[in-house]
Amino acid sequence: MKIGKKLKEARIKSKLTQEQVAEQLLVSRQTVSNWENEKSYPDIISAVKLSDLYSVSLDELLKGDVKMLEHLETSTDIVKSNRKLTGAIILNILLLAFLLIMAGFFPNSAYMIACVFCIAIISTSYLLYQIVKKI
Amino acid sequence: MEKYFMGILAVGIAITITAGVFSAYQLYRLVETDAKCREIKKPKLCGLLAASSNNQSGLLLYLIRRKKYPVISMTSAEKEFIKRCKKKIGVGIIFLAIGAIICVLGITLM
Repeated sequence: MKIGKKLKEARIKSKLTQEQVAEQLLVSRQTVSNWENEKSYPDIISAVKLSDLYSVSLDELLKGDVKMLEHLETSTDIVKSNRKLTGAIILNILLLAFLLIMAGFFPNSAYMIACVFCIAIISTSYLLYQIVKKI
Repeated sequence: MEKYFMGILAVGIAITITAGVFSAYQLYRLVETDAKCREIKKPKLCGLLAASSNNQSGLLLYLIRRKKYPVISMTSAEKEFIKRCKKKIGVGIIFLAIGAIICVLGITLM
């Protein structure tokens, strides 16, 4: 059974309205409605609060709904994305330092300086994209 | 010959400005939607500050600020919209980089 249906049944069994649930969880009534209609999924904190409110075990709520588990996996796996961003920042700093040193060896070469600028632009653009992906 | 390189420089500037404006607008919409999903106050202002900073400090400040606000509600349509915005920003950044490189080459060759 999908989580939306489970949430609705559990709420009705607990004799609560969507407004009352929303008040307890400090979210809007529309949010609770979206969860029950599977237009969106609750985050892990809200899922724990719902299981407490409805006196239903958490694994009963979450198990069986593949999409809900995928949603929790992507929303909580920040370690992977942080590693990529940290790697991009370090690479950018090292590359810029290296390029500045190289440019120092060829001070009169306009092409060398242009090359340095071009590589700096590419690496900074990559870093910017990694930051945007974090959103 | 110099006029030719000035032409290249002008093309580079045009691409850079267009891509910059496009990326900034997409970033504004992305941050606004993200802030709405987290029920952060004044989502439009958050989007504006994130998109308008020169060195992306606004965006970084938003990322730090939103740590206190988990995603409350995000419909699948909003998720798709956020995904599309990120792709558009990626394309915008690529053209921004291309435009900047053309400018550098135009200045170097002049």
